[in-house]
Amino acid sequence: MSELARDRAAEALAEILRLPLEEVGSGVSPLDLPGFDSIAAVELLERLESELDVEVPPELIVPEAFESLDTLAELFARPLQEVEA
Amino acid sequence: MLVHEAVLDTARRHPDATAFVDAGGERISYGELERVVSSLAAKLRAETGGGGRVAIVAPKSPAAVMGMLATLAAGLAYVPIDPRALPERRDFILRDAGCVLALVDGADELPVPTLGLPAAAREEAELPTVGIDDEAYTLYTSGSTGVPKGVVITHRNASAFVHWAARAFPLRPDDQVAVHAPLHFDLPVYDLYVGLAAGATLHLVPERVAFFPQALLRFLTERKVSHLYAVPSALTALVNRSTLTEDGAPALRRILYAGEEFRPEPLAALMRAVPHATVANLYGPIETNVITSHTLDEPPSERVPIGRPVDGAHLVLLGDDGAVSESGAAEGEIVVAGDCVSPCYLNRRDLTAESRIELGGRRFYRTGDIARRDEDGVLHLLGRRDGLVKTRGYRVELGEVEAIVGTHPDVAEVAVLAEPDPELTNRLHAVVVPTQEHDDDSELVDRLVRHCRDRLPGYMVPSRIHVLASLPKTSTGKIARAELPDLVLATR
Repeated sequence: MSELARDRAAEALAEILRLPLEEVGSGVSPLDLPGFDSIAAVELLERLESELDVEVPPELIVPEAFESLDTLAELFARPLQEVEA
Repeated sequence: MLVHEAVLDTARRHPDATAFVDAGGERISYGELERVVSSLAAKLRAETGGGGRVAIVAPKSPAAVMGMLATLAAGLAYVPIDPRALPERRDFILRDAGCVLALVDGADELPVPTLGLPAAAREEAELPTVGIDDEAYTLYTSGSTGVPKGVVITHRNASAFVHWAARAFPLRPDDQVAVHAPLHFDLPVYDLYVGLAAGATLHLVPERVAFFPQALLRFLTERKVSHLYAVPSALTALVNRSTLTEDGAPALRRILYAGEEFRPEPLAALMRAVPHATVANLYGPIETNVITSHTLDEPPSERVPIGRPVDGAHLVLLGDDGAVSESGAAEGEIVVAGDCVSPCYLNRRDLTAESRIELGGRRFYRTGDIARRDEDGVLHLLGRRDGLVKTRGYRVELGEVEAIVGTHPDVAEVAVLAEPDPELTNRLHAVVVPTQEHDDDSELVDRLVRHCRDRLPGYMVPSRIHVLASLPKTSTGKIARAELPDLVLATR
C-alpha cells in the first residue's frame, strides 16, 4: 500500500514542480527539489488527499514528513490502513 | 543612538540575559553577542580597510544577525542576500552593490572574498564613529526592467523607523520574539533592532518551519513566542492549515503584519483564535519603512484600513490633477517625505528620479499606491498605478517576470498578470505567444517554467503559463491588459 502512495507522491511532485520523474525519484529530499516551497507542499497534499481519498490531520503535516518519498508515503499509508481496518 | 549602538548598549548592561535561542535550542547570551560583534567588527575593519559593503549570504541564524550588527559597528553597510537565491541573481547583487566581502555560512564559490560565520574572535580594536547619514544596509527588491534594484537605507532611515516602532509597539526583556521573515526582507528590522535593544530573546524561525503551518505553530508553542511579525499569507496559512483555532497560542501577546492586504475573514479567525493578542497592520514600501499603522480593536468584518501616518512620516495624497491633500477626505497616490524615507536606489539615478517628486520645496517618494483618506483621517488602500503586485507577501514587478520569460528563444510575446487569490494575495499567470508552432504546448510550458526557475526567485515563477496564438491588442497596438483575465480563465 505504501508502494502505491510512494509512486503517487513521486508522480504528483514531478507534475507540480514540472520536473522529470527520474529527478524526483533520485533520492533527493522533496524539500530540496528545485521549486519546492510552501505552495508546492499544499498542492501536493491536496492532490494526494483527493487521489488517495484520505485526509491527513494537520498535526502530521510537518517538515519531517517531507524528508523523503518514503516519509511522504507513510503519511498517506497510515490513514489508508485505518480505512482498510 | 544608532540602531546597532542601542543593541550593544543593552548587551553591555545585561550580559547574562539571553539574546538568541538558535534552531537547536542553544542559548546565546547578550554578553556573547557583544563579544562576537566587537571582535567580528574589528576583523571586518581589518579585512575591508574600513569601507564598502559587506554581503551576508547565510541562512537565518544568530551568526548571520551578529554579522549584520558587526558590519554596522565596523562603520560598513550590509547587503543581506537570500542564501537560496540563484547564483546568477546572487552574483548580480554582489556586483551591483560592489560588495568587498561576503559573510558566508557554507562553501559557496562567490565572486568576492568571503569570511566564514561565525568568525573566530580577534583582538579588540578601536571602532569608528558612525554617522547618521551613513548607509546602514541595502535591500534588493524586484525591478521592472528585469533585474532587482537596491534600496539604500541610511542610519537616519533605520533609526526613524526603529525609534517609532519601539514607542508604538514596545518589547520587554521577557518577550520571546519570533523572527519569521527572511533576513533579506525589511520585516526583521523591527525584530532585530527593537527586540535586541529591549533585551528580548530572539527565536529565528528556520525556513523549513516557516513552510509548514503546523510546524510553525509547534515552534510558537514550544518557544512560548510572545511576539510575531509576519506577512498575511503566512498568518492565513497558520489559521487555515494548522490546529491554531483549536489549540490557540497562549503566550502570544502581539501580532504585527505588513507586506500585503490581510483579508478580513482569515484575520478575524486569527484574532478569535488568539483573543489575548494585540493585532496591528503596518504599511509602507521597502523604500520608506513603515509609514502608517492601524491597530485592530476587534475582529474585522470588512477590509482593514492601513490607518494613520506614523510619527515623522509626512504623508500626502497626490491627486490625478496634481492636487496635494494634507488632511481631510481625499483620494490619490500616497507620497511621503521624512527621515524614514530612503535617499535613493543604488546606481539607479533614473529610477530614483522617476520615483521622486518635489512638492513645496521638499522631495517626496511616490509609493505608486492609491489610497482614500476618510473624514477621520484614516487611510484605506485602493490599488496601484503600475504593474507592481504582491504575492505571498513579496513584491513583484510584473515587468521583471515578463522580461525574463521574454528572453526565452521560443517566446515571441508575453504578458504576465496577477489573479487575486484568497491565500496568496495574487497568483501569477504568464500568457505567451510562441515564436513558432509547437506540437506540444505542455512541453513548451515545462521548458518555460524551468527557464524561469533558473532565473527568478520561486515566488516570481508564474503558477500557470498559458500558450496562445496571439495576444489581444488595443487600437494603438499595445497589449490589451484589461482583456487578459478573461482569456486566462478561458484557457484554464
